[in-house]
Amino acid sequence: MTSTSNALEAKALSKTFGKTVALDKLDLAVPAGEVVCLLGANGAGKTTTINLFLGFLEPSNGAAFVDGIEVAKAPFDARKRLAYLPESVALYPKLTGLENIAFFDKLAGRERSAAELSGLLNAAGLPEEAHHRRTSTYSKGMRQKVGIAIAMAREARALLLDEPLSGLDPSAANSLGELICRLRDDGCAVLMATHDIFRAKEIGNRIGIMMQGRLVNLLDTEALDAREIEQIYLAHLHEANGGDPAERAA
Amino acid sequence: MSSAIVKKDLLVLRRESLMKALLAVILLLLAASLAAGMQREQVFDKEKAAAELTDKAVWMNQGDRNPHSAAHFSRYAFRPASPLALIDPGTSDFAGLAVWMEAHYQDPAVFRRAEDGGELSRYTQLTPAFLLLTAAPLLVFLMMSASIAGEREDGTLRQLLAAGVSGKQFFRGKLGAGLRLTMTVFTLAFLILSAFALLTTPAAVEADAIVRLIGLFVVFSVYLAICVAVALGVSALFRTRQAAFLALAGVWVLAAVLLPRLAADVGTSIHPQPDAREVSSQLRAASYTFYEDKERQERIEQDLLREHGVATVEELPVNYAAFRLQISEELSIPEFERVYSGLEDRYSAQDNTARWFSLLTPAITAAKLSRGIAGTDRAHQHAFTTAAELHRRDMIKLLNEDYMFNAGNDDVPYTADATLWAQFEDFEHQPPTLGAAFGAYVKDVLLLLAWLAAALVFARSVVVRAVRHEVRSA
Repeated sequence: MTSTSNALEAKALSKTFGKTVALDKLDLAVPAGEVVCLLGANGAGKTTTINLFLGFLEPSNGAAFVDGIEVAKAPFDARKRLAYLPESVALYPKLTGLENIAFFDKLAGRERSAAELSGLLNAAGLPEEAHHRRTSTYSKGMRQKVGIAIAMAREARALLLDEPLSGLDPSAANSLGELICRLRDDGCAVLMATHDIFRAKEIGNRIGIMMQGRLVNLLDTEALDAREIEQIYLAHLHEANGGDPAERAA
Repeated sequence: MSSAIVKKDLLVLRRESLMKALLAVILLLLAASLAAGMQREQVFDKEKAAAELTDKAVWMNQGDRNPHSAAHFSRYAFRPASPLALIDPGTSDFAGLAVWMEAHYQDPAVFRRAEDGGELSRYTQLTPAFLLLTAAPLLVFLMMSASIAGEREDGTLRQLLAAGVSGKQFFRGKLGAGLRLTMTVFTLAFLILSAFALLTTPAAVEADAIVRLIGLFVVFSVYLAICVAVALGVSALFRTRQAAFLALAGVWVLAAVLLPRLAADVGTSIHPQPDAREVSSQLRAASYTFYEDKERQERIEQDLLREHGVATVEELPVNYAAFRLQISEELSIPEFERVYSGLEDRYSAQDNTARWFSLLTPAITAAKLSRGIAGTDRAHQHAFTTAAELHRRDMIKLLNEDYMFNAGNDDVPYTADATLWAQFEDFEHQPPTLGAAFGAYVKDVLLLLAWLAAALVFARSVVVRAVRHEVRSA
């Protein structure tokens, strides 16, 4: 345990696969009630960061902490404090939405009543009529909502989101974004990997730009508009491709 | 966590249409095997009861006759039906149902049901034991093939891991679900089988039958648990349902169909069955032991004369011809034992060869234990033929002694009547209890338990490794 009050914290967190550096000395802290979006191209290190926080990968150097627990040393304890929403939430298709959330609720050691679980699904925006339908009939947006409801049920200190909005129609993406903001407002720390600058600006308190495994910039979304963030991001992309970021930003 | 996974898996499996189809197939096959078994055993019981009555009537109504002539006429010893033959008839169809207890000769058991069956009967032994040993593993494999491969294919395994489930908890949950479903279906099926077996048996149910039923339940439970663990392990080796199912189908063909057959074939190839005519001529030679040894005949005659202090056989207080008959019987005994123990050694050698194949599949061991516990294996048949032989010896001895002590030596033909015939008790074979016979099966019990331990270790290590791999491949 560390004495940090950050729900998520990376200290010089690094991961290499052979000679490839997937993540290079990441220093990042996400306190409770804040959303940090990681922006970057494919291979920039966003998913590696999330997997390191989940304990799915062991760091080559440095450490990831969840609620002060070093993930590599106690991955199961760390995971108990986390909720995770992948790009496409995998649910049990033979079970209903309610049964799915009840199962994950039990895994978290709780036994909420059906009414309470239904309330969580409602809060996640899943229509009442869908609660008792098998999830094999759900759209991707509905599955993501169940995923959010599961995250809410876990009462996690931190939420890890890996491209959760990808593939959703604008309306579904919008409602999912609102849900994430609600979780943040309830005191959850959120780390979200995304390609979508505009959603990142909308949802995030800060945006981390990642290039080739490095966090090259950490922007405060209050201070910049979406256009400016896009300029900075493109400038970094240009730099990564061999150009000068200042020149590109200008 | 594991119990949550068990409950979830059971719910998912209950909703699988494949599972419903499998249950229907199980019930259908069970009903068919019960019908076939009951028909087989009822025919056997009826024929046996009729044959026993006829045999006794013929014996009692043979009229006045020389006791040695009656010894040639003699009676049959009938094998009692095992109440559990309905579940596993074992070697019943191939082993003789009756032994003719004639003078001078230890006959092999005769009347094999397989000889009366048509060509197809050799291929359609649809018995509950066959279902449990051969068909049940396929059903378990079908049910379990997606257990882990499906979670990997659907991506739900990652969700579980992210929710804090460890590899060991995941393994325990998956194993628990597989075992619970398999054991529920099996227990129900076994209760039905047991009820039919006990209710349809013509004899009174003895405590040993209950003990044997419990033994069968344990053996099949362990066997099915091995199947569940193997299915789980193989499912964890693959990332898709289809690949896992194909692999398990291959395992089933090999372990439940080919290897047991191959084990029997290799056993009989290395230690071939002796030629029936050769055995018959050896038995015949054994029965002539006394008559072909003139020196021994002379020596025995002299010993007898000396014992009674007389000079000629005519002066003996016993009938000398009857005395020779009894002596010939007694001298043949070790020769018969030699021939039959040679045969037993051959069968044991075949079994020992087959046992090597038990290291490749648990089906051989489970089948052997099933036959043994049901009381329908070669050892129980051997106990029956041995008891019949002891009864034959006593019977022939009593007949010869009656002849010896009552006929005199005055060349007057001697006959006995129904008073003598009534003195002979019917042959009643009490098969050994499972407790008494258990020693012969200890090695197989240990082997089956070793299989269970190995299967669990295999499944656990493969599942935990698959989980670790799933995490690493993130």
